[in-house]
Amino acid sequence: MTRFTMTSSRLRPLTIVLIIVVGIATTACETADEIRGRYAAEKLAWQAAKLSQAVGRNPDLATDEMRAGIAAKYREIVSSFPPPAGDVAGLSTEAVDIAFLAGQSRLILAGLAVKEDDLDEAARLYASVRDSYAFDRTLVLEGSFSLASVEERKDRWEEAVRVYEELLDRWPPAESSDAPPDARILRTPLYVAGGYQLRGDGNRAGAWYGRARDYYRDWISRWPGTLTAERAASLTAESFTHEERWDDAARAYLDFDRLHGDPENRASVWLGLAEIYETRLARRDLATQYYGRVEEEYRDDLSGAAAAIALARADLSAGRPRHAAARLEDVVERFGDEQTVAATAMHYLALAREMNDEWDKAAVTFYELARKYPTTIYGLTAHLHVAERYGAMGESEAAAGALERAAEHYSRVVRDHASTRAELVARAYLIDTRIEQEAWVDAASMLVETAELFPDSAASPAMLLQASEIYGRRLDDVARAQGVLEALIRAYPDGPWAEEAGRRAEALGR
Amino acid sequence: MALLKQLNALIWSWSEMLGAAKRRAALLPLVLYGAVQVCLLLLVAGFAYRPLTSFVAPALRWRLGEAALHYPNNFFALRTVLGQTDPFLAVFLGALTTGAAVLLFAAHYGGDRGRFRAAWAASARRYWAIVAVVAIVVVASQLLNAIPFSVFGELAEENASRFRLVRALTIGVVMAVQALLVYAVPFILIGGAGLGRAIGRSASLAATTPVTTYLIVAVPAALELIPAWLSKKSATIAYTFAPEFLLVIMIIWVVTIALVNYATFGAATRFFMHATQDDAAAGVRR
Repeated sequence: MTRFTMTSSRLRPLTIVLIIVVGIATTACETADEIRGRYAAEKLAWQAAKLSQAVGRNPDLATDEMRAGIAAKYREIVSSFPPPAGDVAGLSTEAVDIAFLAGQSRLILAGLAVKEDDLDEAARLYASVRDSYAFDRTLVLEGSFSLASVEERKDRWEEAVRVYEELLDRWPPAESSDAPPDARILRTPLYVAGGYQLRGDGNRAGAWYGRARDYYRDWISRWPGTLTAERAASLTAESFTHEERWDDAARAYLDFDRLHGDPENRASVWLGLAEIYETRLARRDLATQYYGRVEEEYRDDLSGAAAAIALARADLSAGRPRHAAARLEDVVERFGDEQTVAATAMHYLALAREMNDEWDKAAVTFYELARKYPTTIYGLTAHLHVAERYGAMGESEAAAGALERAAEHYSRVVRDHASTRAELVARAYLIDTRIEQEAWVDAASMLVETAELFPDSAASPAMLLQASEIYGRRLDDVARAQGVLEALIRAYPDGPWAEEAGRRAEALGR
Repeated sequence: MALLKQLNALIWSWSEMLGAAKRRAALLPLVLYGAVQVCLLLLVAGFAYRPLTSFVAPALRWRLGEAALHYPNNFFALRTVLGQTDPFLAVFLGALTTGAAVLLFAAHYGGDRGRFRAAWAASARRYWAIVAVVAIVVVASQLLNAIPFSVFGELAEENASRFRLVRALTIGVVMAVQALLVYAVPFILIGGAGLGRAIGRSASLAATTPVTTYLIVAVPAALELIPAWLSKKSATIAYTFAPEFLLVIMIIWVVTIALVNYATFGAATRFFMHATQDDAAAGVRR
């Protein structure tokens, strides 16, 4: 008995130490395993990302083996690290990191599947992220939105709507009331309503607009005075504009202004209200009042300039060109560096001078507009306006001169802004000018050249049709016309353009 | 000593050192030091392999934080790890290996075939004196190297070229400090001097032969510019090739350090022996 007691009393501290050592060693081993696992996953992800960059940089040199290699690396991560079972609260940082990396890899793999048009596989992977990685909001949201997008691509709109519904039920619009809201979540009900509207289902669209407003009301009452509440109030007003319920929209904007208006957002709210009053509710008095407030309180901002231009437009409509000109001269002087605003103001200034019987001054303003802001829409149309005006005044020589100046201007823009959107627009105006000048050879060759330069432009097939018509009807060059139609059929073999070209070629042959 | 004579002595010391290298004299201590450095690098680079994780990971987390445990951060951390550990290695292990190398060089120049174990044991007998010399050099170098960043930190943003000039000047001063103390270990081990006397005599010898001594220290040190330049490109190298290449660069750096030390102590010991014999002869003549 004594011996037993002695032994046990000697053993007890040793046993305790042993238990502690074994415990620490076991914990250390578990953590070490997780550190190793995370490191291995990160290494695979790094290699995959590097391969992916290499393929992205030189897509022509990339081999199928390289492309398969990227997916293989991510697949290895996914297969080696299954989703965490249940709650991650008890997991170590390393284990959570591994789970996050595996979730991200699933998303990337799904993205690769979308590129390969394997939408079923993509949907499966996105759904797995949505369902198994609830510990990370960003992963789940990305998985959910991508899943819905894949369902839409598969023409399964109702499935997509179900995904959106589940997302709205499960996830609040922000992580907390203090955090900034996720614009995608907040917009989801409006997006669904718009989707039904596009599909011609007015009833469901209306129901979803109503549901959107309920959703926004709910979050405004849950988190009053927050950024989420502010955005929700703004989207409430937007929902009425989508439904073209202009009285309600104006009321909602007024509510927004009362509850959430501040110097930062008030200018856009007032401009929105003014536009609704002006263009939808025929309340010019209220529109003028709001434009005036913006002009006065935001004098040095672009919104102030926009309000001034709107008021000047109203002056022009009311036959007060002098008032309009004074406002517009001020805008042009103060916002000369803001291309879009300055070009718009200068355009209306020229019109005001024209209305005020100061045609010479107006023409100078139009030419200055084209010179200073050559690629803006008003800069591009300035010369044509002058030509039209001379034509209307019966001054055919001056009109011809203006047209020639317009053609020179467009040629300059085409040369100076090659390979940009401005080039395409300038070419379109140059073609119109050549047609106006009845310079048919130039017009037809320009049409063919532009269609060849911008084969992806939606306007290109129509340009080729127009060119063939000019060759056939204006220049009596049937062979050339046929050639252009054949080129059109070769370039756009599927769809209505090829059919139309075929019909015209047949008619030319007869 | 006249300039020409100093240059002559410098070239002769280097040729003697190269002769020693040809016969692989005094290699072992420096190889040993390099091997320890490489082991350290391998531990960091391979910390995610069993069984290293259990003890290297906590150390890495302690010194560099959680970030160092992620791929490929551990490869980017190699230079920092070497930078943090090298002062301690240089003082506590470097003292022994430097001492052993100096004794082996001396034996070779004296016509003997030196024995590593004996040199190591002799070096260990004067361990703390050598530790003190190396510690003075290391601390002075660290403090001087920190000056450009702490005192002229703003200059780096305002005028990069002037900041580079300040750094170059500081490196020059560091070299000068090292040159003043380069003969201290030979004086302790070969001349049998005490710590204070060894430092004083080393400084005095360096002062009377400034060109030879400064170039003995500075010229081999220039070799370090190559791995330093490579190391500056570490991000490009990691992203263009693979992060694992950074380990190769750090090993190149370690080999370079070994070569620099070999050349410095080989030539310094040779010149020390030559100069002290001259001193003795001069004493006799007096």
